[in-house]
Parts: sequence; C-alpha cells; structure tokens
Amino acid sequence: MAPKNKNPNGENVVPEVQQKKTQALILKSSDGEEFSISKSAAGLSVAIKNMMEDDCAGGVIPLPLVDGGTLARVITYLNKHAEDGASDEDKRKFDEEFLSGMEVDVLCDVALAGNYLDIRGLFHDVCQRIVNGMKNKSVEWVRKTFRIESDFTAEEEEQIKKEYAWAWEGVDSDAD
Amino acid sequence: MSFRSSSVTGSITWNDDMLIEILLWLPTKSLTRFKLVSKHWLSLISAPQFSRLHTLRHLKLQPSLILHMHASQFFYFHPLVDGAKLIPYHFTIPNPKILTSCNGLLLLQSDYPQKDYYVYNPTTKQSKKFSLTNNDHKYTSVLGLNLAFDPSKSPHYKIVCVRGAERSPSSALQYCQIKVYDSNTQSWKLCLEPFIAYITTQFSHGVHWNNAIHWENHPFHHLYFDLDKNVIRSLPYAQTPCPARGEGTACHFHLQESNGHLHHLMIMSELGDKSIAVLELTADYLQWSLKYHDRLGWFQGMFRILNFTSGDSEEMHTLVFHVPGKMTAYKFLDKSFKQFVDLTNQTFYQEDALQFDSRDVHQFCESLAPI
Repeated sequence: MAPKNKNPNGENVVPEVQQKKTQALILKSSDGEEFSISKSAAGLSVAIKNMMEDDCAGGVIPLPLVDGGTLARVITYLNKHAEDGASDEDKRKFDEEFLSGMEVDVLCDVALAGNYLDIRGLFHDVCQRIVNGMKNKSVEWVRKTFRIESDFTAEEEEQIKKEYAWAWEGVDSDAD
Repeated sequence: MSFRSSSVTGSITWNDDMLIEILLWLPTKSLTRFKLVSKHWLSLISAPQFSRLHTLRHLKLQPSLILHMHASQFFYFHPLVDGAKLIPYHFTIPNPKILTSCNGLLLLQSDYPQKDYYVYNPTTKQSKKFSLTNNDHKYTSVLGLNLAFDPSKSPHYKIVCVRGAERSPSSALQYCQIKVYDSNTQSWKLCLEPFIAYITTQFSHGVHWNNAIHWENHPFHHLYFDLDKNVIRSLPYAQTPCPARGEGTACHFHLQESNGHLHHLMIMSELGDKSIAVLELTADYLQWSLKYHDRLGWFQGMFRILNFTSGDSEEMHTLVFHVPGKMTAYKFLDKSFKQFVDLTNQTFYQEDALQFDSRDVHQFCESLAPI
C-alpha cells in the first residue's frame, strides 16, 4: 500500500511537508493504513523513538493499537511540533485550534494514543480538554460517551443520588 | 478493568492510571456526581490515595454554604450560582450541630442519645469520632472547640479545645487553658495554661486562619491562639470607619476567613443610615485595612449578614444577607443586590421573620480530604 495521509476529517491529503532534510519513516495503523512521517517529527514520541533506535522495523513501524483516523491526527500534531521555525506561540495556537474541533470521543482516542506513544504534551493537553468537556455533564452522558454500563441497582442509584443531592446542581442538559 | 473499548479490534483501552489522570483534574462536585457512573469509578474516586492527591491539586476552594435550620434540618446552597436553591443535606450521624468549619472539614457535636464529637467531611460523609480528655479537675467547663486544617501544609488536622476554670459570678475574667488534639499523633496535648480571658470572648466561634484560631471579643480586643508557637495574643483593634457626623455606632461584628484572608465585617448605623465595612487583616497582624465601605442607606427593614464570599477575583466579592422570606446577595463590584434564594416556598417559612443568622451558616468547601 502506498503511503498516504489523512486530515482529521478523514479525507486523503498529500502530506504537507515532504521532509527533504530528514529521512522519512512509515507508521502503520491497526487497520493497515500507512503514513509517512519525518524522523524528527516521529521522534517526539518517546515510544516511536525507542523503536527507531532499536531499528527493529526496517523503516516501517507497525502501531497495532492505533487506528488510522487517530494516527492521522497524532501525525498532524507531531508535524506541527517538529516544524522548523514554529514558535511556542504558534504551537500553542495550533494546539488550541487542533483540539477545539474534536468531540470528546475523538479526544479520548487521541489521549489513549498520546499515552501509548508517550507524547506527554499531547496527552496532558487532551486530558485537560476532556476534563473541561465533562465537568458539568450528567452521569448518563459520561456513561454514554465512555460506553460504560452501570452496575448499580436502581435502589443503589436512588440512594447515592439522595445522599449527594447537592452534586446534581448545575448539570448541563444532555442535549448539549 | 477498561472503561472504553473501541470498535476497532486491538485498540488500546483506558487503564486505571490514565483514567485517574483525568479524574484528578475534575472538580470535587463533578467527581461526587460521577461516583454514580459505575462501581469501578466509585472505588477509584473513594480511594484514600486518590483523595489525598486530589486534595493537593485543588487547594483553592470555592465555598458553598450549609444552613442549619431548627430540628436538624440542613440545606446546601451556593451563593454565587444564579437561581441557587436550598438543597436538603443529610448527615450520617444523629442530631448533629455544626461547631465549626475549616477548609473542607466540619466539627460536629451530637447531643443525644449521648454527647459525641466528630470530625466530618460533608463532601464524602466520612466521619471520625473523638473524645475530650476529661481528667482535669480545675478546668471543668469546655468553652469552645475549634478546628485547624490546612491541606496545603499538612494532611493532618488539629482540634483546639479551650477550657475554663470555675469563677465567681461577678468576675469579668476567667482562667483558661488550651489543649490541642493532633490527628497525626492521635493524642491531646496541653499547650497553654493558664491564661486569663474576658468571659465575653467567644471561644465557641473561633475562626481559623494562618495556623491560628481567632476569637471575637466585644468590645475588647479579639484574641488569637498561634498553633505554631502555642501563644495567645490579641488582634489589633479594628477602627470603625469614621462616620461623617461622628455619631455612628457599629452594631454588628463578624470575623470570617475567606479565600486565604481574615475579614472583619461591621454594620454601622448613623442616624438610621446603614453602611457596611469589610476590613482585611494584614499578614503581619499589624493592622486592619479597609477593603469596602458601602452605604446600604435604602436597605430598609430587618436584615442579617450571613457570609462574605471573596472569590478569586474582585468581581466575586459578595455579601450574603437574609431578609424576611429570602436570601439576597450584594456584589461590591457594581453595588448591586440580587435575590437568589426564595424562602417563601419552604416548609419552615414564617412571614416577616428573620429565621437564622450568621451562626447558622457554615462554609461547605467541597473537598475529598480524607480524615
């Protein structure tokens, strides 16, 4: 399969910067998509850096735990942060825009990938976003978003709600 | 146990470490609600180690308030929330009385079936019973119990017990002693004996600030007990802001800790024209600086000050009043009044009556701090 890239909307795009100075590397997602990335950008992930140093992959690094859509987003992030001449202010602005368009379920996927690939800055920022998105939400919203089944009985639920009634003040409506 | 599985086979799932990373950033109120998500979330949020880390990460607390009505009826309310309601609150111990509140913990007394004392976290409802030492024949009466807890300095709390010796009924002074319970050593220690205090000193209403307990005493000097040095000292006298015609009288005093400062609230009446002053003690204990002095001239009729809330920013500085039938918030920034709790639909409502005062209102700082 030819290396290709996707933007966060899932459309195929030509990779913005064909790195000339640094060698390219192929990252392979769980669903078999391949992405080209410069070694300097990939090296911002501690996990990929270790794999490059071990050189066990022969130029292609399989990431069997990250799907293509998520990997495309992570690569967009890494490319920006490895860009020559991008100031901290540029990167901060980029992060803000990059993350603000994502729904919480997408943020969760990116957080998981950020943790797995050991990209601390990304993981931390995404966690903050998730926290801001969920702090005023209802219990039902959290269960739905994180796909959790309640294992409380109806009586237990009623009891907990009554015990901590004050914590149910000011909760956003689930329709938001 | 994972809490999310992706549709894509082989995808990574959340492990507890990562989930905890997110939960640690959530405010206490959200976490308290999310205990209901699943039993696994309940166990993560309730773990003592998690509570300690969360407490350290959330040291700036925005206090809500807890109101004690007669007959063990308690209500939670948040003075800065629009459309705040009185939400019934139930303690897990019988017939409690709130003695004091300090950075997320309460000191409770339960008078029957027997007299018991508790340190209580109203957020988690965790409680711990403690008993007073009773081996002193000279200092027989307990004048006040106060709590000192500052999670930014230590996870342990202290209980300050002031006892008084018998005195002749005509005496305005009294011999006193102070014993301190330390939750770290789980024991009482005699810290100061004897000292002499006016019987008007309100030892049962101490205010914790700066690792010291402060007590009002009108019209004399307020006192404070320094827990670092085990000494008692008097606070500088707070000057009543000068009334224009020199005929003003201060008719209400109130000491209160709010957002890391000790405040002194005064209501002055000058020929029926009322004004409010808020003074703040400088960190060196040398003087009170005047923060606000606002006229409430048109604010007619009966009212009581319940609480001064100073948030992070000036615009949040709010005074909570009780007037018959409602609670009202006064914002210093734009000098505006806003009714925020309607009491007329409550079962306890009495027409044209003030039904509680500042002593019935305590800070409820949402905190997971373990006891």
